[in-house]
Amino acid sequence: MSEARLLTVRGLSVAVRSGDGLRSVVDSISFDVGAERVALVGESGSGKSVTARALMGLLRPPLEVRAERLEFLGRNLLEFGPREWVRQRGTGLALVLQDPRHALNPVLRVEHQLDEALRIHQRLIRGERRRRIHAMLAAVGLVAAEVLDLYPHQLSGGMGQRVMLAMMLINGPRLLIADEPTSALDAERREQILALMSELVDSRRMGLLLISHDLTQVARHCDRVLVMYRGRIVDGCPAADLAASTHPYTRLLWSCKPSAATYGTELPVLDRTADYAAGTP
Amino acid sequence: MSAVVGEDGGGGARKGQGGDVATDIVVDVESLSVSLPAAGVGGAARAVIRALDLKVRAGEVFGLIGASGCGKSTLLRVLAGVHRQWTGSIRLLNQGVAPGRVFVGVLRRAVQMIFQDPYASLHPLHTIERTLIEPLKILGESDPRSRVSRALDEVRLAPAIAQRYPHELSGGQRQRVAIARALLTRPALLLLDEPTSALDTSVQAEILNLLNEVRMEHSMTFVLVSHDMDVIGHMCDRAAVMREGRIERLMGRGEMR
Repeated sequence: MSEARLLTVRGLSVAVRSGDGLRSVVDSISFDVGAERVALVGESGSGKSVTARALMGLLRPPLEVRAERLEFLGRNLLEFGPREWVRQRGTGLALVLQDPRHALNPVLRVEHQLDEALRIHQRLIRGERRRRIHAMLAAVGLVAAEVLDLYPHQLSGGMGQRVMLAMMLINGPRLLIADEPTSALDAERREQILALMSELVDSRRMGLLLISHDLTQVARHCDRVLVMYRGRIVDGCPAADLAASTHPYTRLLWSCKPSAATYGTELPVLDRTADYAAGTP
Repeated sequence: MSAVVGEDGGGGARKGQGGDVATDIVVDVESLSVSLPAAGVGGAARAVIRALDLKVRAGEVFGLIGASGCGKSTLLRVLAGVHRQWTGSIRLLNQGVAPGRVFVGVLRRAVQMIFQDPYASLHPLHTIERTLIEPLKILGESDPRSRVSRALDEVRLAPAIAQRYPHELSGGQRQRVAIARALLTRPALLLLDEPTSALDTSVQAEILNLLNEVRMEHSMTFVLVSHDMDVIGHMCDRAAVMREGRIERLMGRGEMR
């Protein structure tokens, strides 16, 4: 399913140093991402966002990252220095965050933010930068003339997320990591943004690692799903086979979603005292 | 003001046995309009709700759904008496409500609200016990402490939670505290503003189960705001789709899928 492997993760662990002990947050996870759409699904505290930040080299003490292998396009991310990370973020790996109103610089207009992203990574004349900004905004479904002069607080949630997506894609990264990119949006916008993201990733032959707590929603937009629970990847399968997963945790996440069909019934819930990691609660 | 008893009744809603609620219509709103001042200085007022009519029957779970900015949360805040600048006519539990005034009499305890973000709706510097005791003291209830421990028990929280602060609880636990707080005054009408949209799917399932359970137990009427059609479909007997401050259409069970 992945002709070119982009990301290789083997035995990635993240721990918090507190006092004299280490508390594990991510516990020796392994996976690969190629030019495909992979969902990393888990609930609050499962370690999925920390995993995204570890892949972007964004974790600082007291968080400690260890891995047997952490490679992007054959290069060892564990040996990257600050300069290499700056080059890599944006052109190689890009991260879209949850709430655009917090992730965009509040005192810069949209045009300035996109222009800055281009200037950091590429040497282009002004006219060429403008041309690329207009093309990129059109690709994410925005009219440049309407948004270029706006500040982040003047954007709606959906527009803000499109601007952030434009900013992250403008330098042509190979792998897009999106951490709960739609949880600040209403249901209709969620579908639009996920569909847009999945379409852009496909047409640019990029990889996508989509992090979410909503199993059923991401399943519609991804090829493969990895399920995270208490810092471990406990299940993984093609998105199309999710409904048939035999893992008890995946089954519960799949079946605890309310819908018109569950009206008048009690929804299945997690047994909070059980440990689902083993595969048998 | 007019409260038309039993109008458009018989739609298959679950009937409540609500104690002091005499009529079938719990929420009766006629030509309600609300304008909010525009952002910035000197901006023109923006109409958020435009001549809206709404009737909610006793014992029913009524959903309000629509995109961001359609006015659904504002409508709920008007019904809760939080937003008081409006025109039109509102009767709640057969009591008239006047614009610009805080609720008086039975409505102060009979109408309660649960917010989207339970962290923002609990006082950060008060223990859970203090937060829960406050409404009981204001209402002059006897033996507030035992009421609090019973309330925590009802929402399946351990008694030790009473001595904790909101930041020490998970999102699901905080929403349970918010539900316990609302139930303390024995409301007949519970207004819920996106009560589970800040929660994980598995926690959402627990909270929706809990809400259905306490609703049956206390014969309450719910008005539930959500942008999630799945939540509305799971919970509601009827729902209204809102758009630009108006009710675009009403849905019965047959229209929900």
